[in-house]
Amino acid sequence: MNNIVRYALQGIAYTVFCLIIFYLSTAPAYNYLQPDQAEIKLAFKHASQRLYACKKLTRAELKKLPPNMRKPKDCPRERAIVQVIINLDGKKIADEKFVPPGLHQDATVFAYSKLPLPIGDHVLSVEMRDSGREEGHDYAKQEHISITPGQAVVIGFDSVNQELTFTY
Amino acid sequence: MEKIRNASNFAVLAIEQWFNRVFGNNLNPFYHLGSLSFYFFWIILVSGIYVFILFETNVAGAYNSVEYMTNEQWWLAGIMRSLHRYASDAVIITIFLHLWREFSRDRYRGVRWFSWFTGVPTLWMVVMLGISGYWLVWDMLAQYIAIATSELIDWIPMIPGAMVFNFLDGQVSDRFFTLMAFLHLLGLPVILVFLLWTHVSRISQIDFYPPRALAIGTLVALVILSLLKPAVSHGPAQLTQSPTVLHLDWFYLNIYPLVDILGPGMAWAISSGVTILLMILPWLPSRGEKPRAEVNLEHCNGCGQCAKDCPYGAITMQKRTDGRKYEFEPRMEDSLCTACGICTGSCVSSSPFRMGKETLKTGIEMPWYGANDLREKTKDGLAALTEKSKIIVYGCENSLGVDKLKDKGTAAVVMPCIGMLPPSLLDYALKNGADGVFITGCREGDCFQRFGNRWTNARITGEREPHMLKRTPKEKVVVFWGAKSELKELNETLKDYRNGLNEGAES
Repeated sequence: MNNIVRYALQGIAYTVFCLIIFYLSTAPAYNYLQPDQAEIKLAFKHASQRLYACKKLTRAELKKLPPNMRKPKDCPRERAIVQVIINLDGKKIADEKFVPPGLHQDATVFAYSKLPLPIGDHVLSVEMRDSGREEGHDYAKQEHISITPGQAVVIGFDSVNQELTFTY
Repeated sequence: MEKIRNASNFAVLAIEQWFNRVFGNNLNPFYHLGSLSFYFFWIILVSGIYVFILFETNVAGAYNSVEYMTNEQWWLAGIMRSLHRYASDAVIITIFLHLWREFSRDRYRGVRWFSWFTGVPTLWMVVMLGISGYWLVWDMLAQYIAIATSELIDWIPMIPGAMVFNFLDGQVSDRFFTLMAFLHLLGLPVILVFLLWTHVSRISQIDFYPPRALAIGTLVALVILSLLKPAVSHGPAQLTQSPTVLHLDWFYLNIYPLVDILGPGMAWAISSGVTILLMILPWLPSRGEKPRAEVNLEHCNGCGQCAKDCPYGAITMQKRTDGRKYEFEPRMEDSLCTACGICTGSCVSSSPFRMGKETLKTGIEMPWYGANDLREKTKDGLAALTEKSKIIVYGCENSLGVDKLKDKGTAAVVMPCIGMLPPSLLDYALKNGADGVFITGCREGDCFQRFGNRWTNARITGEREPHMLKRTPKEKVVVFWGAKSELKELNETLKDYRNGLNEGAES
């Protein structure tokens, strides 16, 4: 093989190497959302209500306890599961349950979930339960929204005002 | 596993053969994948330092500063940014080829498990460093990566809190962004340097730099690529928006679509599964190692050549302990020795002319195969030949199967690595009836035991001790380096050599 051919083939080898980088550094394109889609992000931190009320201990019950652990009330730590139901234009699109973390299921829930959302005008309504109830809701919010491609609608919870929020 | 490895090796050898023809053995990029990776890290470092000078490490300024580099100062900062990105992509290619090659060559098991094992977290660290770099541009791609990474981290049950909440309320804190910048600029690189040092700590005489021609060639190629396709950003990050079309760098960001499609749990399962599989590969199954080399102090003059030649740093020199007049003695580190025998080849006491009819003992050799075995096999092999022209072939067990060459006129002596061949044995063979000596081993630049063929070449040409004896007729010593796939060429060369010897004898 003469030198000219060798140098030409070396050039081809370098070109192939660069072509691999050229292509895979940006392609194929990845569609995170379709062009006619937006996204709902359910995201909030919330400490749900305790499942059981505190109980005042009787004198006999207190006596059974070691002296250093005697306190007038016994307050079970377990908190309720947080349930969020999302309706779009009257149709349920999500029913998410978040179990409080921790050994005693007593820590703050970090709720996070994503849903695709078609663009256009919609009625978005969200109901949330945090007391362990089976029916109805503890919090609710409904709003007319107008959604553009790629928009992110964040469903949050305002812990100060104790209400659901929509940010978009 | 062996079948997979053999098939894979067949493919690697075929590709490398093509590159040998085009680039030559010395410049074959497949023989310099490790040093090319280091070289790309240097390009990344230098281009990164320049980019950092112009980069603003805060949320508000990061995107605009990168845009300035790309659009305003495209002629330097833009090229540097592109080089930074494309050299990072190139390093992934060389690392994967390196991984594939070492697996195919079966150089990842036994004593060599450590380099393989430590290479896996090193690869992960490179990927993490790349991902953190994309984060700093703070465009829509960075936002996507930040959120998807948070989803991955938040999935881990033992980690409290939710990282993703940093990216939902419209503005990322500068504190968080500075943390990411710190990780990319200092934290992860420091860990990577430590991992790289660990990765190469069990081999000696490491080539940190590729040959100059290869270094220039790859740099020019990357600069041209940077000019033809400058690295650009997506639109600026907007936390009230989600990305639609993303132009991912698939070398680094391939895990994120997995997170979207299968969820963070499955993405963790797949990546952890692949990582664990790679890490335990040296034991699937493990290789039964042969007994290591041993030092025979009564035959050692402490010259230190074995320590200089050992490809794995398994031999160090220490103060003499046996009271003899020599200053040093070799000390073996068994856990580093691959039983290649190169130390025997480098030992002056391996001369077959020593100790007459007694069993030849050498200063350092494997208890199961030493210089005496080479001498006896040479003597017996030559004695059994009946043809007029007698040739003895010395070969290694990792390249061409020289045992197949045995016939009435050809004797063959196989050893773990051709570097085990004491140069004085060539003279011994010629003095004991051989008309010619034929030396074979792995392809030039690609020795299974790293330096066997390089040292042998240097010993024959007299560039390295112990060199071939001056009285040995050079024209009677022929060298052929090749892989299993070149057996046909070996046979032809050997045939030509024999014909030449026959013609010489007749004339």
